Amino acid sequence: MAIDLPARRPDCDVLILGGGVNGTGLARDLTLRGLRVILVERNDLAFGASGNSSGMIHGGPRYLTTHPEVTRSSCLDSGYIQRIAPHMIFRIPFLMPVYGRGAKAQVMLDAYDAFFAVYDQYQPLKRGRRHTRLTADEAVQAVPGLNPHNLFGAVTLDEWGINGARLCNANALDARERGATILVHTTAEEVLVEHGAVVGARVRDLLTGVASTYTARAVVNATGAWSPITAALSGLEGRVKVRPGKGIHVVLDRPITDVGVMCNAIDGRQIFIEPWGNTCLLGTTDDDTYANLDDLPVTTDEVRYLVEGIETVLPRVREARIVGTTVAARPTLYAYGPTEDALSREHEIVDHTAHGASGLYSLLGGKLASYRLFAEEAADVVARALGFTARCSTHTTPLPGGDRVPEPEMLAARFRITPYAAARLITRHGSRAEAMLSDGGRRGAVTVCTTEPVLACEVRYAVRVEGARTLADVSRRTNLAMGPCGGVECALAAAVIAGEELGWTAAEVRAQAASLIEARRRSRLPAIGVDQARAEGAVDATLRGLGRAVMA
Amino acid sequence: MSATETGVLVIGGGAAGIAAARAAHEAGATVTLVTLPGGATTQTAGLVWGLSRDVFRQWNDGAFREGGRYVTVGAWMHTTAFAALPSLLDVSSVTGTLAVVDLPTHPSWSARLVANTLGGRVVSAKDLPVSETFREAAVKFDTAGVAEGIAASLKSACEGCAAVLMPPVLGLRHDDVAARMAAVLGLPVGEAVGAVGDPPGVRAARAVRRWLPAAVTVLEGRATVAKGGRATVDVEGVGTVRAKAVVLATGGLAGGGIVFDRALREVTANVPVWTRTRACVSAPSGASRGADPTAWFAEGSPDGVGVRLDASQRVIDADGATAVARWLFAAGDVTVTPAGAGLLDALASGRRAGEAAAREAGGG
Ligand SMILES: Cc1cc2nc3c(=O)[nH]c(=O)nc-3n(C[C@H](O)[C@H](O)[C@H](O)COP(=O)(O)OP(=O)(O)OC[C@H]3O[C@@H](n4cnc5c(N)ncnc54)[C@H](O)[C@@H]3O)c2cc1C
Ligand SMILES: Cc1cc2nc3c(=O)[nH]c(=O)nc-3n(C[C@H](O)[C@H](O)[C@H](O)COP(=O)(O)OP(=O)(O)OC[C@H]3O[C@@H](n4cnc5c(N)ncnc54)[C@H](O)[C@@H]3O)c2cc1C
Repeated sequence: MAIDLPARRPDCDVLILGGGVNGTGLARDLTLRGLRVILVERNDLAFGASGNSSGMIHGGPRYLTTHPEVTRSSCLDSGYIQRIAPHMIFRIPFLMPVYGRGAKAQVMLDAYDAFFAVYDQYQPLKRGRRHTRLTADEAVQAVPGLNPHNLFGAVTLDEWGINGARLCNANALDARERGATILVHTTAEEVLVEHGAVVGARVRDLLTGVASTYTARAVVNATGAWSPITAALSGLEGRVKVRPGKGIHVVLDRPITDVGVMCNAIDGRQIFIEPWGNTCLLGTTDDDTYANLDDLPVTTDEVRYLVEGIETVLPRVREARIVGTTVAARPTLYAYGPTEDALSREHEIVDHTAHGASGLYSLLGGKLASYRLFAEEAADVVARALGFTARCSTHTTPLPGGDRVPEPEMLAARFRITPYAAARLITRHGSRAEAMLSDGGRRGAVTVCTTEPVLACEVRYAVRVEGARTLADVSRRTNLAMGPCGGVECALAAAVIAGEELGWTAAEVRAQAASLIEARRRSRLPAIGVDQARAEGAVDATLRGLGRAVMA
Repeated sequence: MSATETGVLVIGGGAAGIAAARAAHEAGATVTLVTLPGGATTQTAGLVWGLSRDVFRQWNDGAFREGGRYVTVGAWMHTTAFAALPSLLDVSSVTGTLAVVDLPTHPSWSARLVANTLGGRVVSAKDLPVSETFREAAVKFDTAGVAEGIAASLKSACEGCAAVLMPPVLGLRHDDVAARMAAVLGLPVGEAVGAVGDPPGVRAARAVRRWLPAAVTVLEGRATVAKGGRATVDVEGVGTVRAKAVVLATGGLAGGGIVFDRALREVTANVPVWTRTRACVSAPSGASRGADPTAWFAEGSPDGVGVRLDASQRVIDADGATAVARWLFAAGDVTVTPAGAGLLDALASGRRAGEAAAREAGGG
């Protein structure tokens, strides 16, 4: 489409579409190199795969035999992420039990043992521990509740976990503080191409309905599983292909195990249970999806498949209370091309010059674990094309709050909060937790959500500093309402605080609280069990109290 | 243990059970009530749903909205079921400025926000108790003299105001806090409705409990209606009770009368369960495949699920028409309730079932 191009400096050097880990990671990298960046995110930061992944910053063991250099670079990058975000990353020891008897089980255990002995060589790059080989008795000691029946032995494996939503927010915040503009609930509606070159995009604020145009020297499509749709917005139908693979997790109300356990589902696929902060995740599925990516469904089927699989190794999973599910689509590369470049097996940067849109790039594939590397490679390409020569510094510059990790006990004593609340706040904000509590005063230290816990000052910070525009945005940034109460206890209190910041009326405050409670219910509905069903009456009553007519 | 005899046996001591016991007693029956602790009645926000459907609706769609109504309740009382409504404040009927009282550390009370939307004025009291929860604050208001002292310190700030709106903290153990403050201020004092479990809800539960006549025998334990044609109920830890009529008032999912265990079940008398539109398919307990809760929710809220009654308040069978037994009645959340049913609906249906059960017991 032809637009009137004013002969003025474009609004930015690079317009990034998509606020997942790749978009926010790229925004940070480019901003650090001195480029002017605008990022638009259709939903919220980390709304897609990045906020709903298994959160493993793994070292890529599965490339060990075919492409050891990928394992090496993955481990190296895992080490970098620890360096720039030490507060966010946590160790997850995993156990791989081997069941069966006789020679077959022996061969299996030996194979695992030998395999991880090779992986051990790379572990120091990410401060990982060496694997160990355990007898059946030792395995049961390591994981109380592990099904001992027919257990032959096990190996342990050391990986790291990270909260993907926090990672996206930290990247976006750093970019914003260095001058980038980050707009959430703002979708690209059309990518504007003039005479074979991209000139910007028309975007719309989905909360206000207001449309605007941003001009840019380059546009990057970092919309993950949405990227074919996004490419079509610039008339490049069919030029971008991914194969969206839907994956769900089941979230338990508490960590029923301190050690992750891998096992096989009924169809032989590998699934796992992992401790996750003050919850536990069961994951994951991988199914081609053709559903609306903005509203992916979770089914009772998927939940039961995971629970049944995990039950074979950890029977007590049946008694645990499920408080929610997560769902997202992986931006799996459509087909792995026969290329010698090992990294292209994981991710790919498409330059659309050949498709008649120079200055437009699509980032395809990728993993949470390799986001920094992917962003660096993409920034190299984009910055060079625009004549910027500064080198990447995202592996050495700490993310916000990552410069220093405060001691929870000291923070707790100083601000009169519980050490647990302090520890949880620190995993999300690192050294920034101190300023947040100092600024918040007495009122700021009040607990809003008791299960996470979340303090009043953090809710305010999520809006004021991290750009949350709805209560659900606050929840993604803080874990508010993610526990068993599903917001019944805290949604209204949090909405009052967010409402003060955002100028909501009291009616809007109530509507926001009700929407979050309804969203939490939708998330746990396919997984509802005996205890949770009992609590649903209170949820209905709360919704009614908030002015929602519960369905008749 | 030998069997105890009674005229009407009520199972469940929530709003429905208490109303049923009272009605049966007033109709002349000997009444026994057996209950477990807990239930929905003990967890409410103290909102008066259906006090007048009108008032509730206005609150519902108006909340704090300009021109809308904001109903606040002090001691929870219903005009017909109970004695009086001493501190119900209908904000819409306040002509003049409303003073909205600040509670500094409480995260879910923003006097500024409420005052902005209602067009009121924020006032601050001296020595207001510092608390993180409404319950903690309410305990302090219970202490003799505290509410009066706070009211006195508000007096000058409330100069020229027509009424005073407090957060939901007006007493946990006492019901007269609003009245005591009003006496000092010389102004009507109301209390905003909070969330589930807040002090007005605690007072509401107490008001309901007071409704139970002293002549009703109360047993504690889990009741199970015995199989067979007779009105025989086993009470765990107590023994067998033989009655002429039984009122099932065991509550919904929150009360424990209805349980979701891969299928929805009524667990006390083992009678069929219905959604608002159809019968729930039963599944053997422990089956790994069974009802999909998403489908069940798609039909409506979970609290609508329950047993179905005929016009005489008797529980009906799977055929949707015949009574399970002449002597089995039900009331409250264990029944299929209309959307929005609450405390007052439970009281009303309890009364109907209690009267019907007393008739059955008297005629038998
Ligand atoms: C179940 C599951 C488990 C996973 N586990 C792991 C793991 O343990 N370790 C690991 O390393 N990786 C894991 N991954 C992979 C990893 O999560 C993804 O590869 C990565 O998060 C992709 O990031 P992204 O930024 O490309 O995409 P996304 O995070 O999906 O972000 C794309 C964003 O673009 C936005 N958007 C869409 N259309 C528009 C538009 N028109 N305008 C503006 N914005 C738009 C979307 O709202 C979305 O927020 C997992 C993935 C899944 C689904
Ligand atoms: C959290 C919450 C908040 C609410 N807030 C409001 C509100 O603000 N305003 C409003 O009007 N309504 C509200 N409601 C709805 C209202 O509370 C209910 O509709 C009403 O209390 C139902 O009363 P009930 O007597 O039928 O059930 P319940 O109060 O649940 O009573 C059932 C009783 O039966 C007992 N019982 C169950 N099985 C057995 C057994 N086998 N043997 C012995 N005893 C048994 C239970 O322990 C319980 O004591 C709320 C509901 C909930 C869950």
